[in-house]
Amino acid sequence: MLSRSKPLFAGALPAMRQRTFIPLIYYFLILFISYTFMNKLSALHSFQVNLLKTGLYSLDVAKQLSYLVLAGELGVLIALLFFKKAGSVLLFAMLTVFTLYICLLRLLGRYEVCGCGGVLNGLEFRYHLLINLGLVVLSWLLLKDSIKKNNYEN
Amino acid sequence: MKINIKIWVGVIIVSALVLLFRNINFQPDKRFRIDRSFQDYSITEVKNALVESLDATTVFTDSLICAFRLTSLDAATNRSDVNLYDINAFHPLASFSFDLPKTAQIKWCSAEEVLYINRFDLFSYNRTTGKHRQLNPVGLACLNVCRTGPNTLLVFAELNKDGRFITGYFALDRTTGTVQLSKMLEENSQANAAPNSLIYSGKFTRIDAGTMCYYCDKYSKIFFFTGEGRLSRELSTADGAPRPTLVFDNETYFYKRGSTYNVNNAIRVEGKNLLVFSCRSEPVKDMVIDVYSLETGQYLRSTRFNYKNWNCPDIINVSAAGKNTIVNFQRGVVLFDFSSLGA
Repeated sequence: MLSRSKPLFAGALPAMRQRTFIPLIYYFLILFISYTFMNKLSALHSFQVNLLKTGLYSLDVAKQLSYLVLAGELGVLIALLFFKKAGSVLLFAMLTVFTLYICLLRLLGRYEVCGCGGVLNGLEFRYHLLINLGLVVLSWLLLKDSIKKNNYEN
Repeated sequence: MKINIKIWVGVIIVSALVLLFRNINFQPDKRFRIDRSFQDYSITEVKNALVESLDATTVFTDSLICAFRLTSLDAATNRSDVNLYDINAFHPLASFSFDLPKTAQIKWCSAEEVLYINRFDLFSYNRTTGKHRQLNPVGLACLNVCRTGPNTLLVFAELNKDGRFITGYFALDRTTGTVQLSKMLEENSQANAAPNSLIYSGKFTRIDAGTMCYYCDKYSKIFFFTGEGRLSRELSTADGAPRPTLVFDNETYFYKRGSTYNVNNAIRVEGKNLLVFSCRSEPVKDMVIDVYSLETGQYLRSTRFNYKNWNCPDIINVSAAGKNTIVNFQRGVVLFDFSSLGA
């Protein structure tokens, strides 16, 4: 007999999608941040020069800022690996700050090409902004999932 | 009707992003752009097999096309093969190979010699004897050079005179080693050759038999010199771009963003007009050529035309080639007829 009740698998597909996509987003973001972190670390001088060339900082400040960014990225990575919810919050905040920073550089006429490291180096502003917005959205999805899970666990 | 808030929020966010990306200013800095008045001219490409075979390593000096090819990259020296062609008749003149220090930059080439600068010292490689000879006297740090005569050179340099460092253009007599100041750009109490090589970065070019020119690629100034190397006049292009500013990381100088502008990539004289291939335009897929009166230095008009979507920032150098103009782009060398721009 046909019934108008909920199909047997209703809700299973979105849940499955979420189960597949959120870990994918999680590992992708870890890989991505590790990649840009390693690139900045291995070419630290060019990263510092890139900051210096903006003309916003003195040499000392540019150096300190480069260490701060590296420490921040490392901190986010560790947090993501061991404290997922805190890591997600930090990652979302960090990517939002990075995105606002490149917009500010653009507005001040200080953006030349991307200096984030690796294959991202040399990106035009519009592509950099698109990638950053994509990353912000992904980190927001991860954050949302972490909060939801945390609520269930609580 | 039930309203799905998530869908509407999604639609609003996507629409906002589309609007943002369509309207946001993605173009480079608009400061120091020229308010141009455009006029159409008949500009044609002149087909030539030799020109089509050349690549971006080509240098035009005096009446020569010099095609360089690096054949080995040794730790200490670079070996280059050079093919010289007559720029007016497009026939080969000579071929030779020579070694250069790895840090050397070739600045000028003639049928007899190659002038190059290595760590602020000026050298000549003589093709017949195969010998390298230092030309600059003690105290003259050379940044760029061109030949004005068999024994005379015009150098952009910094002269250390009694503890004062004068940056400018000097006429150098290579037989006597005497140096005469043609145009002083600045005077400092300490050596500034390295930063000034970036601030006044540019190229020498011969615009006619008796006139040499130096145009800065990050500053709006163009300097004209007589055949003897004396300053005859100077003009500023209509963009009015200021000198670039630099930042220093205790080892190297870099251009500071936000206050450095790519300005003039090449110049050429056609009839009574000076043609300027400027980077100070909207990012277009056209060549934009600004026409100035050679007599008054006033901006007259501009023209634009499309050639394979290549534009002025793609240009490396330009020279007269008979009645035509040879343009070295980053992606190839092309011969154009710009004669209509001379009127």
